[in-house]
Amino acid sequence: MEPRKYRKALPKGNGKAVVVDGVRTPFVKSFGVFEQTDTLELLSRTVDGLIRKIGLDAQEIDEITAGVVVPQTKNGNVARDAIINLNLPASIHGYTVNRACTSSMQTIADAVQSIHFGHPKMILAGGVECLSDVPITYSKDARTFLLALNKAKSPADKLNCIKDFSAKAWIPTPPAIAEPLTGLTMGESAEIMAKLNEIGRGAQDELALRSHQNAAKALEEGRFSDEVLPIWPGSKFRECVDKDNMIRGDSSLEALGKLRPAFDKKYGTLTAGNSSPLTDGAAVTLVTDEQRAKDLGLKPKSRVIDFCFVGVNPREQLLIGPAVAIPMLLKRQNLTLDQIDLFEIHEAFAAQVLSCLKSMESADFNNHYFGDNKPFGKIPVEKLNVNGGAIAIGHPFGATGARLVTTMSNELIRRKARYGVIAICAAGGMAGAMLVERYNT
Amino acid sequence: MSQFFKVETTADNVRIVTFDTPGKDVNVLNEPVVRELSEVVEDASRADLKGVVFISGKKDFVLGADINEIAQFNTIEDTYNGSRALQEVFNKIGAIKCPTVAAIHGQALGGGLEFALACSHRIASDSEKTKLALPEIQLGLVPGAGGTQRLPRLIGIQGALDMILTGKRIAAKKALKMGLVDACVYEKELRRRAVDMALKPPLPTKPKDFKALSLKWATEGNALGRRLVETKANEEVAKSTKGFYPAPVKALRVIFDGYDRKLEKGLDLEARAFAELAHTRESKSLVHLFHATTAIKKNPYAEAGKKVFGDEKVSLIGVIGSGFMGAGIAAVAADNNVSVRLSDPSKESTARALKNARDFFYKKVKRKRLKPFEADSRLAQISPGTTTAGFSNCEVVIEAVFEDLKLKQKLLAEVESLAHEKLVFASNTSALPIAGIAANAKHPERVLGMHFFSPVEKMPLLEIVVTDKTAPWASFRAVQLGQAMGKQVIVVKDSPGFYTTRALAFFLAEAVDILASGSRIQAIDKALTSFGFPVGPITLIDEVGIDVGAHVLETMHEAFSSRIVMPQGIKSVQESGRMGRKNNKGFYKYIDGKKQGEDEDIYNLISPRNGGENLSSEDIVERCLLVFINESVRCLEEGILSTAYDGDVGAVFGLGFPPFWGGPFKYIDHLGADAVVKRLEALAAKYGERFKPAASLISMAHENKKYFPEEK
Repeated sequence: MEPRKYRKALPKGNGKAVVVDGVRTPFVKSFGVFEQTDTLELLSRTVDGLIRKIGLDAQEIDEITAGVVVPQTKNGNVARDAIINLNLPASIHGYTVNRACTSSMQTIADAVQSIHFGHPKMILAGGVECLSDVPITYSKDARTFLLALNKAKSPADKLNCIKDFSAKAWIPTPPAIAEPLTGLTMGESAEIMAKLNEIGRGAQDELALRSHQNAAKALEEGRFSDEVLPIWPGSKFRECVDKDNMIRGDSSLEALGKLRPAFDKKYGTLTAGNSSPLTDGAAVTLVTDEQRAKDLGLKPKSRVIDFCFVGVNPREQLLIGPAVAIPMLLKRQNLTLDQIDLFEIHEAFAAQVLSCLKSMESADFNNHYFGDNKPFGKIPVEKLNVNGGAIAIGHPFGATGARLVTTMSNELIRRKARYGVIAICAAGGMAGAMLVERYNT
Repeated sequence: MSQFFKVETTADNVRIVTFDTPGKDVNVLNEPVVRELSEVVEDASRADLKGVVFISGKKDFVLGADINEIAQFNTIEDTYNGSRALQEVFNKIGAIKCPTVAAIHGQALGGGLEFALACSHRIASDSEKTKLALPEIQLGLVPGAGGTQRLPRLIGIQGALDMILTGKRIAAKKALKMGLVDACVYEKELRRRAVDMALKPPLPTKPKDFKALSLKWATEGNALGRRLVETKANEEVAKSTKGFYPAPVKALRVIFDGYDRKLEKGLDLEARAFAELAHTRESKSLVHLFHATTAIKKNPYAEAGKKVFGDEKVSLIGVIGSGFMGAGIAAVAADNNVSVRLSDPSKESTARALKNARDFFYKKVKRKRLKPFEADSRLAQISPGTTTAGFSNCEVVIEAVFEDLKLKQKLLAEVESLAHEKLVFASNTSALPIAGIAANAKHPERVLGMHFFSPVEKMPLLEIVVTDKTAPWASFRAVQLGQAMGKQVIVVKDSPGFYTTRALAFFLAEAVDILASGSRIQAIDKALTSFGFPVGPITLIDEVGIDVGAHVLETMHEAFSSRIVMPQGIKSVQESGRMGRKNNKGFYKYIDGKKQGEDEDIYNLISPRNGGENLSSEDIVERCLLVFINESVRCLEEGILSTAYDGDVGAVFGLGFPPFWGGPFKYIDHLGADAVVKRLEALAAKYGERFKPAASLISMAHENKKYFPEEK
């Protein structure tokens, strides 16, 4: 689409970031109904779905951003590609970022920052993950060989390349969700956390069960229908996918208890049932300046008050970050735990959520990170992940942040509550937390 | 004295001849141009030059010979001489000793390409706009200025046949591959590179591929191989023209006969064929359709539209209903850079619509017309959904739900509730009155009909229906969208059946009445396909659906009860559960949608009138055709059609009226209004009022007038 002429000046703003709305695809099991799609298709449909839902004039959009954790090489900057793919105005720019599982919390944070900085932009911030379509790589030897062969001009040069090459190098490296610098997979790291914090199998299964039951209830009551788009996945277009497909309301402790440990087969407590599954999906939120929203007649759902990102030692407890990020965020805002109405702590693993909760209740932990010789506090279970979490709904890495901001905004409205805190752990020993407030007109 | 050509000579002694017709947007070849070109060429051959470059000062190279000038020749001999005169000039170009280079940007069509073929070299810009073609066949002609001779000698017989028999437009890159041009360069460098080429002409390239080379020798390099190719080509042409068009047959003869002979002899054969064809009824009809489609390209509401929309194009539309029609509209819009929001509560229907669109785009990928990512992007521009959310941003909303007045009114109200003030609501109804749909509208000035034909991807016509209340700017928008979607757009006034459905209803009713009077199903269909309709009327009813057909006939009967025959028995055919091809039960038998023989039971259901007549093929055609034509004239008379051009375009591109007759109005011109009136009167005496000649036709006959007096 032809871009409208660039405005001489950006529209007026007041520097306060608001979330107008957000949508997502259904979150589905990888290698399933979205198997034939890719990140470009999923992100395109979600961006289009949000523009359409809001009835936004595409010419008003300034930027579209996406988080992707395992990008397919074809669409390295999938956010910009989606703009072109959808034939949106070429004046919209966009980037793609990787901050592991906090990637789309990062895109939202970026939007908030730039608005706070005084650019009253209209930004679609989100993320996408299609683990059904990830790049399969060859070994370094094979890659070096192929590139050299490509450069070789004469047959003699080519022969020379082949001479030193061993057949073993041809075995492709299967993609693994492993830390490149600790050598451990996510599951193995979380297993260590379970043992370190003495989180038992029973507690983990209970959290997993509650996740499914909360999610099933939310689904049944139609609480997701405002945020989930129907998706007709290409290339066959056999069906319409309009629901998350991993939520099991009929699960039980008994059924969960029967599952075998997945990572430490002998002494482990983490199972496929109390861990988040490999998921395909996308989520996008519209973030803009409060004044600009008002001028365009848009009705915001929430404000983003603050956020912070932290790093922890990946060799100790890889996914403990939320237990640091939440206190840090609330300290910055001079808020106490009981002033927060709702919490979304991302459920990578039940053991990891429970470790974070336990750590915040530990004086030692709080002392270690903040020098406060007392526990930070206890998050009551009825305020936590009230619509289920990633264990039940699924976790498309790049999309989870945007999903949580949308779900939280909707739930704050539903409960007429005020503050919500979102915290997400991320690979590499990181985490992010974000404080959201229901928009009060 | 130089008027059309600017002549300059570079320091390197290359002559640059720039063709730049003063006061016009395009260059065409006509008598004064050719006279001047002849002088320019003679001057160049006398001068001691290193090379000559021919280039255009317009956005196209040369669009060909002036079609109106060709029409002015009264006799075959005159046309022959005209063709010879143009060949003469091109021969002079061919005789220039130094290299001659045609520098082509934009379109080089017909005589324009023949101009370039006469040069020793051709260089083209790689712009998307550069297209080379010999489209004469589409006007019922053959190239008449050397194209049938020089093209096969340059690129081989097979390639030349493909171009000459189809008139297809060749892009620059393809032209380079075929050997039609010697180089393909960036547009801005064209002139400079053309001069370079004149100074240092490339050597003729030898194909490297041995297999291709030997195949070429086997099929073209020897007389026997050529005979084989000729026989095969003749068979193909006979199959594709069904004997209705003389030009392809003549083209083949001229190409093959000329190829073995000296160029001069071949050119004579070509001029002869060209002249003969130019005076055929077929060519005159096709030229007429060229004029008609050119005339309707002008948006009749341009002024009103410009005021409201300026240069802004339609870039986003909403389509309600993802059934067969809605799906087709969405696919064609997305294919033409118009994004679509689709709304249908049925997710299954939308899934089929998306699959249909994907297949449509990927067929183009297979034919190398699109890259896969372009196909994906087109598909991505169809936004599927179950509600009309987001339709407030659309510029035009088209409803394509089934023919239910109440439902359409409800959708109109829904769209109005979220519409902005420039949003046009269009109904894709084929028979419901638009005024009825707009009856409760808050803004009837934004409501009109956009009657697409099925399948939308293939059928070229769009009939736009405006009511007394439709605002001109809204009509402008609809025409603009239709043209952007690549359709031939006619605008008609709202009335029962508009133009196309009304003319078709009379035609089909007549066919069924003939059936009821004792003729056989296949005999009726055969009679009309032999006349040149692509499908027979009874087959057509099966295709559109007997339920739909019967409903339309009923509606028409309500409106024109005094005239249209309500064919006896169609009700009982419908009540027998026959719906046509869609339920494998119609006038014909079907197995999985494939037509088998006629269904004998039909004859019991419609119980032919006792002592019914078994009409001859001619009589069947006479009745169906003339009722169609008479009703078309009435539509023009009543102001439903605003011009006779619209009627001919509608009939040919929407209803399959044989193009070689030019349409119902051109048909009258061909035969003379007087003759048609006489035939109608004879039929009226026998069959009733529907054949009573329209008043305006009678007065035309009296005054000996034509619909298109400017066309000969």
